[in-house]
Amino acid sequence: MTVLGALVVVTALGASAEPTPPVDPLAGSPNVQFRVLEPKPFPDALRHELTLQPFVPQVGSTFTTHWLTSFTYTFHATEWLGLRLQPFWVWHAQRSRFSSELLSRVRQDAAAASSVMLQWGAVAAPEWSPIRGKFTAFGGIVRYGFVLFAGAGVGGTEIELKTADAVGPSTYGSTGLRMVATGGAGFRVQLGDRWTVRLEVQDLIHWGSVSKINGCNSSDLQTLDEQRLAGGITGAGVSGQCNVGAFQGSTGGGYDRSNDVSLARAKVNEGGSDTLHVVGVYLGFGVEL
Amino acid sequence: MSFIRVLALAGLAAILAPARALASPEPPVQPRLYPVGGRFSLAATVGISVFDTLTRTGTLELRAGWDFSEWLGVDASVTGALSGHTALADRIGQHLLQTPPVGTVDDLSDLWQLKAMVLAGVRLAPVYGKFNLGAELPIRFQAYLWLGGGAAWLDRTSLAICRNVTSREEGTCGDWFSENRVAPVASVALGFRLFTGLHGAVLLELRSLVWKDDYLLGVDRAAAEAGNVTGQRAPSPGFTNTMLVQLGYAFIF
Repeated sequence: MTVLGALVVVTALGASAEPTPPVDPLAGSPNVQFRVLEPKPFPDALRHELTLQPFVPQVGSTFTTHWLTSFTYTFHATEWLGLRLQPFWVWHAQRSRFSSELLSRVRQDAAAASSVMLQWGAVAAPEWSPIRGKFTAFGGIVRYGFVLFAGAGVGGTEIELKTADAVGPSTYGSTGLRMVATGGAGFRVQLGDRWTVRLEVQDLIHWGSVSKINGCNSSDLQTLDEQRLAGGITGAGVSGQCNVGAFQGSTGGGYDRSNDVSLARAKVNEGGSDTLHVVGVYLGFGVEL
Repeated sequence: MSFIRVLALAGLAAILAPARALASPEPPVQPRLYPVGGRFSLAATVGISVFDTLTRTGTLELRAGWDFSEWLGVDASVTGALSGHTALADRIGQHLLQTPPVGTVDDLSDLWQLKAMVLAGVRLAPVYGKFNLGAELPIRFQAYLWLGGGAAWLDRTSLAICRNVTSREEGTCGDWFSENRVAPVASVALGFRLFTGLHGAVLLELRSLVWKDDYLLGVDRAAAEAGNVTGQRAPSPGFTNTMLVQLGYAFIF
């Protein structure tokens, strides 16, 4: 029996690789109770992963365009489950090409509630890795995991008031903090024990109406507009939350910010609400500690 | 004599086996269970457009392919499409019609709709791997990049040029200006073949279709509503990108 086993070993060592192995002869055998599994070469459990997504473009935008930078901290509680905390900063948010075209060609503008843009935010989400595998690419073996996550957080938002024109660039007003829900999926590739590369698609979802701009509600903006028409914005008689300073002075290009008051008032009085999606492609480079 | 030879072989195995394991700590690699090199395939896919703004598209595609090797193949396909305006596009047209027809208007870009298409291209599949679906169902897959081009039959229905306003108040048009053409199309796709056996695979693909846009600028609305469409072609119309998610099945012979 031992000799036969040795022969099998020798044959196996010398045999060339079969391109199409037939059905596993041991599959379904009543004599086989355990199969040897290869241990995970790079375990994740109880480790911390830091990932930087330096440039995240928004895809499929309708009325607004966002480019952002994101940082993700992931605590891998087990091999399959983790918790991620993700602050992000939107360094480019503006009216989309389509929205500009609508305005210039058919003189239509998106509703105020559909034009709110994210400025920054942070979300937390549990992360699940239901699928792990490996593939060969260019002669090497790469180990990867498919990850799913969903969670929530908060984000600061803004809205365009004056569009860019000959007088100067666009002006923006704050539309305050909003709850942000998130969900996404992607692949996480492990390069050795320490380094990771992630490619994920993530949706940042926020919703609501535009009821205040720079903290000023409709009544505040009416008061400020009346003051503007009377000669100058003083800020008297408005609520304490209203940031009057945001409507005073002028921009670098010489645009009088008090002109934003009537624009803001029109948007606040528009009413309506919308749910907005910022779907981005997140390519990140990480280190596991 | 024969028994001595067997013993010698067994001894050799006892010496060689651990030595080999020490010399090569990498786990043994299983050869490809589903090789595709030198094989012909026929596939059918259905697709829907994603990230729609003004148009939406659904496709049905028949595809024939040949794999020269495990990582290089070619495909040729015929696609039929059902397409139309999105609800957003309809609202834009309606709101424009509700305004008085004064002055000129520029038509919107990215309004060409796919009706049919023939494509041919190269499929590069440098990645072959597997994952486990659940604990006991290993799925072998091939990931590929597809590059190619062809011809697309396109239709375009304007959102700004109406030749017969049926109701100004309701913003309805009886005869939107429309045109059609055949245009060259370039295509890039990222996809997966998820093998279900030696002779079949599920296809999952994200495909980009790009064609040159074409539309009218400076159309006199009043003249257009009287049936006389004026204006000139946009000198730099740019390109339209349509993204499709496609799902199908390939038979590999």
